[in-house]
This record gives sequence, structure tokens and C-alpha cells, in this order.
Amino acid sequence: MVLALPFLFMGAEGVSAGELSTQFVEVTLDQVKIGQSVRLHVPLSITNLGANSTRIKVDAVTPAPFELRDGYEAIPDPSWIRFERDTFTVEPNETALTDVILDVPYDVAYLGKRYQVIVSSRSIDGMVGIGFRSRVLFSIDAVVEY
Amino acid sequence: MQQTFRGDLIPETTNLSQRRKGKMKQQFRFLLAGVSLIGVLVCHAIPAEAQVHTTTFQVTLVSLSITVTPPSITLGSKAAGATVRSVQGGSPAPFRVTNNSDIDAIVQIAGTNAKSTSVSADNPSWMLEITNGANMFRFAAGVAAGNDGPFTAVLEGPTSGDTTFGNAGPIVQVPGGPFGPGDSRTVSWELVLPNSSTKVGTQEFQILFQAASAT
Repeated sequence: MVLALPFLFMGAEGVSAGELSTQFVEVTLDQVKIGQSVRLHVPLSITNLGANSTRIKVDAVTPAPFELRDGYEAIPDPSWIRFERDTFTVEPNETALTDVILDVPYDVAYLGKRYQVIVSSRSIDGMVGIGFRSRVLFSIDAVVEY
Repeated sequence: MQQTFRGDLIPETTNLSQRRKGKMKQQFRFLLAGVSLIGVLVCHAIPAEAQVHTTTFQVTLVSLSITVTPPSITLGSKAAGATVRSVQGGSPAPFRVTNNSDIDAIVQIAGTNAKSTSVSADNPSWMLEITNGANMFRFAAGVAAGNDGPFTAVLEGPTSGDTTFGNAGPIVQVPGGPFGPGDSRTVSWELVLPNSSTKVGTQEFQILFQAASAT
């Protein structure tokens, strides 16, 4: 029996996948202390070089093994990374920014560790999404200050 | 052009005990400043252990830019079990991915955000194969309960990519290695529809192309 399967890729016709650009490619932090929250020095920026406004979603995700830098292991919990805002709209030829904050839990098990997390940004409108997988690398101080 | 910045990072907050220590440290810093001033005037003696410990940062600023076309593909009604392939120069067109950066970039593909109506949630068999030359990626998309949210998918068939699942589903690299500056590649695909009477409905999902620095 042959059945009709209406199949529709997501996205309206005429909505451009466009072009996105970022300068938030890799950020390295050294000697972060357990129990500390740090606001990354450079905000996550997404520039929309396409012709249409684009909605962007930002998440912190665990890196795949092939994405790990030498000497770093995957972050135990991506929720250590927070964003000032995780969804925003970028108009054509404009840049949207959001602060990125790292919260390291107070646990001596993390002393001296080196972790990597991926900041995933992507357009969420349209059948074809585009975006970036930016690296945040950080080392945790091996010493607890008393 | 690539620029790298290094510097000290000022903590935003610390937990309570850390805050107390921070306050003590601040008071100590003021005291130290006074002592230092006297020290400079008298004997330049500043104890080494009085140095304030800081977190350092390094930021590499480059511009990473990616373009993917076409923006949208609508296939319309297809028979159960049908296979739909992209056609070079025809319709539906293959994807065209371009690295507009002046650095090497890895481009990864993931399927995400499956949405469907009238599609069984317990028998995943949607297939999407993405091919590039001799390499072939196949996404088998299982529709999650509730028909919303990242679909679970497996990677099958011959592949040189990694089958690790990301938060948004499996991610694989576009074959051929990193894209050099200005590189543009065609990514063909093949979609295998489920051969099941329980799959009548509309299936929507997004194919996601994400770039990362290859350096």
C-alpha cells in the first residue's frame, strides 16, 4: 500500500539561511577558583550578515571527544555556563551580544582540573540552521585559599 | 587577522566563604598598599606571599563566518518508503556550505528540533543521508515523545565522521577536512521516508550547520 506522506522541511520559503559571523571563537581562562563565578571578558557576539532578521539560540553543551583540546576534559556539567540571555533576534547587519558567565562549584574534586565546554549558537528559524561551536577552555586553581 | 588578548579577570561573585575571604583580601590589599608605599619609601620590601592571586584570561579574536544555501527545502507529499535525493543543478538542490572566514573552519552537521504531526513516536525510521563524494552520513531520526525537541538519531552507513551525540543530536563533520578560507563545498543528501502506515503526517526538522575554528 502506498501512503501519501506530506513531508515538509521546516522553514518558510524565502527565509534566508543567510550568513552569520562571530568573534567569540575561543576563550581561555586560567586559575579559576572553586566556588568562583567569573564573567568572561569578551561577550558572545553574533553578527547577522544575511538579509533577514534571525533568531539565535545559545546553549552550553558538552564537547564531543573529537572537539576536545589536548590536556582538557569535558566539563562535568554544562550548566556551569550561564548566559545573560540565551535567545535573541539579530537584525541584518547588526550584532547581538550576550555576557557569558562561568560558575565553578565549590568542590575540591575540581582542583587542578582543566575543562572545556562548547558554546553553541545557532539560528532557530528556517529549515537550514547555521551557527557556531565556540570553545571555552579553563583551568581550575590547584590550591584552595584559606 | 587574528588577535590574542591576555589579562587578568575580575571575579564576578564568589560563594559566601569566598566573599569573606575576598573582603579580607581587599582589606589586606589596602593595608598592603599602605605598607608598600612605606616599603617603597623605606626599603622596597614587599613580602612575596602578599601578591594578589588573579585569574588570567586569553581571548583569540577572529571572525568566523559561514553561509549555507538553500535556506529552505519543501518536498511536498511523498509515498511511504520513498527515497528523495538532492539533485545537482536541479531540485531539490544539495546544500552549499561556504567558509567566509580568513581562518580554517570545521563545519559540523546535526539534525535538531524534530516536529511532527500524526507521526508515531515509538518507531523511529526517518532517514536522512548526507553525502559528500564517497562519504555518506545517514541520520535516522526518531521522533521524541511529544513530538518536540531534539530527536534522537543514530549515524549509520559508511562514515569518516564521529558518531558522538551532542545535545542537539548527533554531530558529524562535513567530509574533506577543514574548510580553508573561502572554501565552498556541495553537500548532497538523501532522505529515506518510513515505510509504515503509522507515519502518515508532516515531518519537520532542521538541519544545522555549525562552524568551529580548526586551529
